[in-house]
Amino acid sequence: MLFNSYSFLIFFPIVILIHFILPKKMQYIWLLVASYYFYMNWDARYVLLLLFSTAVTYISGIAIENARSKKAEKTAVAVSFVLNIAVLFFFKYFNFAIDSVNLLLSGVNISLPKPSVTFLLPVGISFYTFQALSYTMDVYRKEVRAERNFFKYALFVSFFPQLVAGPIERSKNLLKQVNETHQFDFERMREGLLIMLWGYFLKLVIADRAAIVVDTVYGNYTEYGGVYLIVASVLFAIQIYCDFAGYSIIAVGAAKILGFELMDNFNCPYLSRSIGEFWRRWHISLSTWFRDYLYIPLGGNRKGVLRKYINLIIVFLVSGLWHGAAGTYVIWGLIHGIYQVVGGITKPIRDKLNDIFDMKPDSIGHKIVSGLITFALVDFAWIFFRAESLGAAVEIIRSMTHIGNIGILRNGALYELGISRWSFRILLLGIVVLLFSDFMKYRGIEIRKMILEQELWCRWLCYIAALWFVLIFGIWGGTYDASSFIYFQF
Amino acid sequence: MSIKVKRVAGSVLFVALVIFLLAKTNFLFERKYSYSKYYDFYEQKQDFDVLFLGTSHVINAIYPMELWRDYGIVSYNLANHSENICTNYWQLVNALEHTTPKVVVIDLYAVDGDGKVNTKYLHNFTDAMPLSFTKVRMVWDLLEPWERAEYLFPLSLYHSRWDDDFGTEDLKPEAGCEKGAELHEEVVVNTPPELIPKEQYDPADRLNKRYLQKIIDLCKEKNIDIVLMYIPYDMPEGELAVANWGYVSAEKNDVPYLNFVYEDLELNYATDCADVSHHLNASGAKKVSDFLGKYLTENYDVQDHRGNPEYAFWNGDYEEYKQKKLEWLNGIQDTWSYLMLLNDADYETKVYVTKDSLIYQDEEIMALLENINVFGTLTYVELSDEYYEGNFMVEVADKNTKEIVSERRFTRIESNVYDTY
Repeated sequence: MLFNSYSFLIFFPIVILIHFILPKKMQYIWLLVASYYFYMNWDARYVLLLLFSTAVTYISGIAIENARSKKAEKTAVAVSFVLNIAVLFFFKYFNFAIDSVNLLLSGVNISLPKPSVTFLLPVGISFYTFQALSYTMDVYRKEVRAERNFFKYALFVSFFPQLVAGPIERSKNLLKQVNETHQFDFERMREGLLIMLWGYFLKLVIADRAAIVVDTVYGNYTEYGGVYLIVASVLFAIQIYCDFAGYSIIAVGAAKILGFELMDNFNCPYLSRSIGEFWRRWHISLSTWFRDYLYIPLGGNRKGVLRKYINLIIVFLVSGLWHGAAGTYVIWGLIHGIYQVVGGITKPIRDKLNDIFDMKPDSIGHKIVSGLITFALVDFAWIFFRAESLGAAVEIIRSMTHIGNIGILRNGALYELGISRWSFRILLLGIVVLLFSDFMKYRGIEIRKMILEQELWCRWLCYIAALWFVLIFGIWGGTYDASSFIYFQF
Repeated sequence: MSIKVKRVAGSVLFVALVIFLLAKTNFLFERKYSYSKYYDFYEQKQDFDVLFLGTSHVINAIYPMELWRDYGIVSYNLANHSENICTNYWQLVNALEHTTPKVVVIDLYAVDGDGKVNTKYLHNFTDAMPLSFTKVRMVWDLLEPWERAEYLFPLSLYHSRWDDDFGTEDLKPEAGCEKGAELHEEVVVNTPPELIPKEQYDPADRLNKRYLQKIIDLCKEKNIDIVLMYIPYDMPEGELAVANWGYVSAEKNDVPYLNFVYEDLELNYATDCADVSHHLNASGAKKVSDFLGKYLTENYDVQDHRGNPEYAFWNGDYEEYKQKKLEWLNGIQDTWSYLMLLNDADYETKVYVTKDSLIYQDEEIMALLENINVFGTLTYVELSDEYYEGNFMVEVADKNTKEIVSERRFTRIESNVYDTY
């Protein structure tokens, strides 16, 4: 079930209603039932994997807490990690691994057979597996107590607002809330709905509209060269941000209505002035997961500069793999790892240059230039993320250098990429609104809070106008095409 | 007032405001075809005596306003493009919640199929249909789960229409004055179908045949007379066999069947067809309408409401319809279409032509001219002016006021091809 589906529009109000009507002690049971129904709506069979991951990490938590030696604790952690990663590997990476091995062995004419049965990638498996594993680690680190109530723990792993696309919550935050009771709060619901509306705006008005242009150009990258590809790549950066952040924001809003506070997953990432800052603002729940459960255990920056750089490269390679089982994602991760390493190596030089030329890092000009450079670097890496293959990515980058067709920015050719002139303008307007909102947030001003502080008539005007805008200018529902209605002779 | 009451009242008001706004937005952005076709049906308080159901064959073949003018019959053409009998069933269920007809006439063209619905064309009917329990049941019956939303909440489809064919006419939509019919202006020369014996029929069990039975049963349950019919066209043998199945159903249910393929309609396949193998044009439609007018008057308790003050507004509607027909006639550029439309009881036509004009050698043009006399009147006025040797002039007068309402000159380009000015 997707947040932008009709079934969710029916499902969610029912969940809210029953959640607050039921006795408080029953709330977690109801939310667990709702969460499993939410997940099974996609494919009921794969709920077994969710259940498996839940059971393994639940038992590991108790085993760690009951362990009498450090070795037994470590064994429990290892079993939990091995079993969870094995399932994740089998369903997500098995084919990719075989292809990769075959590629390596192709020189000696050996190839491993591929399984004849192909499995669907279970929705959200990367998210809930990581969330469940974080619990194992947190219990091991004594940061949380092992949860003894299986159903409460199962709700922590499967809480439907964040089950399939994050944020990847920590047991310290979410498990504690599962154990609390939740009263209906009018103001919280109002704020939650407003947060959801913003998420829908990002997803439906911007991301899904930009996706049409991006798909048109990237789907035919051999036909669209130069500036077309530059425009599409910039729009892809916007698309993936609005798509991912939009979904996370809807999750945060939905959870808030139910009485849960989820972590903020995106914090104005494109206003970052360095790649390091970008990763502190982009998909925060995943970045911090890698920091806490991979980078730091690998030694972080505690074992010298060289080891720090190796650790960074490892983390970003794994991050690339987490995003998808393909070489393009690995390269995307590697590029970000290299950015971090090069950034670290060149920092003294850049600082020296700043001193020599008397450049002030806090000046507006410096902020703008460093922000634009960061965006360009991030967007360059996105090319690998979006391209169908490594070869396609290389071809796209090569083709982007031929900017002889810059005239398309003025001659209306951009309106032939799947959306009309007016639709393109709506997209640009949406991007301006997004930038404005992010800029305000960057400065510590939340527009949502400003709206909620206004008088009733003004608040209602804002709510209704925003809702109307999303409904009319969002990409949702059926696709109206006048030509499909033209009467044909029956 | 406690804060709780204030919040509940405020929330209810807010939701009501949003629903009102969405309803208005929905009407603004939706296609106005459905509104135009069905507005009069839903607005009229008085009952319709006759309802017509079927596909585009019926839309193009039965003109309720002609039935009013000639027989005083109050009827509505509910037929829809590309419609199946399954949809006709629900259309009837819905219609019976708004009116109580004496007779339902249904065309059987769509019985030959197992499809329930042609999804895009369904909007032509459902957009104007008020949201009701019947509508929900219909959508559930006809459509797959993933198709249903846009029929119950058309905004989910039309919200993006601002970016397509949305225009200023959407701000001030106009209801049609044809009571559901559509006037077809094309003229295509067809040949009559090669008939097969009536006993030769298609026995296949079809979903749409089963829904026809549901329609017949519903009419019987409600004490409404039902007439089965088949609008003719240049049909292949297989479709003739489907048409002949109607006799089987009619006999089984003891209801009449007007298979116009065999009835003496005086249909002229050289003048009355709008396209190859399917629809009738305005001339053909007037012949079917006239036949049905006589048939319904003679066989059913269908009253002449022309003198009934309750239905006096139909006279105003007819004047609007007549004006529209005239505007349509004067807007036509095609010679054949223009001459075909003159077969109309509202017109008296004079053709100015020289004695030895080449027009007399043009069989197709002459067929169209002779056809005018079926419902209209045609008078030849002989000219001696040599200028008219290859040309002719048409003068059309209103039958009641005798006022000239249309004039047209035609220049012969080649056999049966004329330029008009």
